[in-house]
Amino acid sequence: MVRMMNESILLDECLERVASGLPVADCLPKDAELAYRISAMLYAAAQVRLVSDFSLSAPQRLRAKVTLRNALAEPATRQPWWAFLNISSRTRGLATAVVLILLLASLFTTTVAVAGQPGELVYGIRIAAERIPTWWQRDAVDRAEAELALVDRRLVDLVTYYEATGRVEARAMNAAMNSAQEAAHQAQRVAGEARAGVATRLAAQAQTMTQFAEQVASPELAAYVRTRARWMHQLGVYAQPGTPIPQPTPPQPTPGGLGLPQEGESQQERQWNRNGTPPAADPHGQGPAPARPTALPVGTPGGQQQPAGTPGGQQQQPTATPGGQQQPTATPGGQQQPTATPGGQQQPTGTPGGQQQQPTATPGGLGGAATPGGQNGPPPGPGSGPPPGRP
Amino acid sequence: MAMHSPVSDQQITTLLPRCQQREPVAVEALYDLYADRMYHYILARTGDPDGAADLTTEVFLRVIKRIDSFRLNRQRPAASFSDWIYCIARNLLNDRYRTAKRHPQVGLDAAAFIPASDADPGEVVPHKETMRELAHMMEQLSESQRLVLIGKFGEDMSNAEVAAWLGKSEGAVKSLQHRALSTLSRLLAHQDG
Repeated sequence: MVRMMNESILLDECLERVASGLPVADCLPKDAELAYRISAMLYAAAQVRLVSDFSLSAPQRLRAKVTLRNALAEPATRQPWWAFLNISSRTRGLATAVVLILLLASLFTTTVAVAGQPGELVYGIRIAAERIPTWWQRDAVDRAEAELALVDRRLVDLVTYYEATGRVEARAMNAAMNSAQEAAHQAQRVAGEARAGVATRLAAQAQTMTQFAEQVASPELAAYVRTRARWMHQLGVYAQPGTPIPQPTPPQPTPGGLGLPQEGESQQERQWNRNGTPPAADPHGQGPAPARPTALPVGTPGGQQQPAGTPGGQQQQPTATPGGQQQPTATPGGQQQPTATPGGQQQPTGTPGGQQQQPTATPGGLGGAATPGGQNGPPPGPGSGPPPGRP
Repeated sequence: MAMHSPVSDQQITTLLPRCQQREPVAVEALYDLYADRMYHYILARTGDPDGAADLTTEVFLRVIKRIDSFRLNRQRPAASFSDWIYCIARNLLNDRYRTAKRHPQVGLDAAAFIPASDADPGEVVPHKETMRELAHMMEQLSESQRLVLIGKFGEDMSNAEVAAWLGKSEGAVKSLQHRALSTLSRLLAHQDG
């Protein structure tokens, strides 16, 4: 490196001396090898200097200027916006080829994703891709119809997948619930027959899911499906015209493989969360570990309700109890689940700070006693009595 | 002392807007400023004196076609314009090389050329062959090395003038000069050997 720097400096000094008219021999160093290299480079410089022996002649300049004037006289053509990049035609061709390849790859990926079946890796992409057309629906009725159609598709996927593998596809379940919720929400923006139609379809889909739950062999899986069916039924009620109830809170969606243990979660449930899919039924009948404990009291035959506390502040899930009565829920901090009561009376909702709620009447007069922590009255479930708002 | 005085920032900032308005006088003034340098650059790369004259005109035709889209760097107007015009020349030469590869022409040396008016007629023919060999060797150099050699030995510019023209330091110019000449001397020795 030092040698190169010295050589560079020597060369430059020699070039300046030669340019000044001094003989070459006076510039060369005493070291023979270095002198040889310097002289070779001086010779190369002399070859390059031959370029200066040539120049444009007067006729050539004149001809060039005439050409330029003629070009100026032509109307100016509008340059494309990328002209300032000064991209050569080869680069443009390469860029076009890259764009085409990317487009084809996207098309292929989308096609593969659309064909994805439950249980496959690309099934999630298919779910997302099928949702895209619903975003373009501006009309509330059209949007609700589109979401209900997606619920139907997901129900078909659930049943098909269970029949093939004995497992419940959690992504299909979550997507069905999201679409049902969105349909119910859109129904709130319309009135009359359109809203009633949405409510009717939601109720029918909830019924389908309930029937699916009855097919499921594993008690835990069946409870999982039944919970969601019950919630969809609540959505149907919420969507009905004239129902002044707030939107029911959905059950906790299946995390889908995050593997985060929940407090009180059994090892089986941890596996559910990790895999994103509840396990298949145990063929030996022993079954997996009990379901995730909630604050919901397990109803006893006859429907007597028992209060329960909520460990760790978990959001409560509506669960079925024998007799079909929904359990009251309570959360620490006083946050209440919005629920419906028969006769259309709206439950007072909880507020942060743990304000105690008023007890409410329930069908058959069961439960509803006020407890510390502010438990709400029971919301209606299927078969719990006349639906709110109807005689 | 350079053969042609370096282009100043003021000249470019004055001429460029007028060229963009397609004033013939301004375009001709721009041609006079850059034509010789451009010709020597193209000649060093092609080795064909007559063809270099045509290509020089072609460069300026492309310049006036695209001058509307050129955005001047206010910090270094002359250097930025010089970068741009040499980029056009480079792309033009690359396009011609690709075309020549796809459609090779026989007898490139058949084209007549007009030497400089003060050139010794006896030296014209050997020069033509030398220029072609030089062009072939110059293709082995990087673009920065070529520009330094053409500026220093084609245009007789000083290190400081070349540095200002290319937007580099004088030390960088000397280093590029050294590497370029070292490569050329090796190629020449290989050729003679």
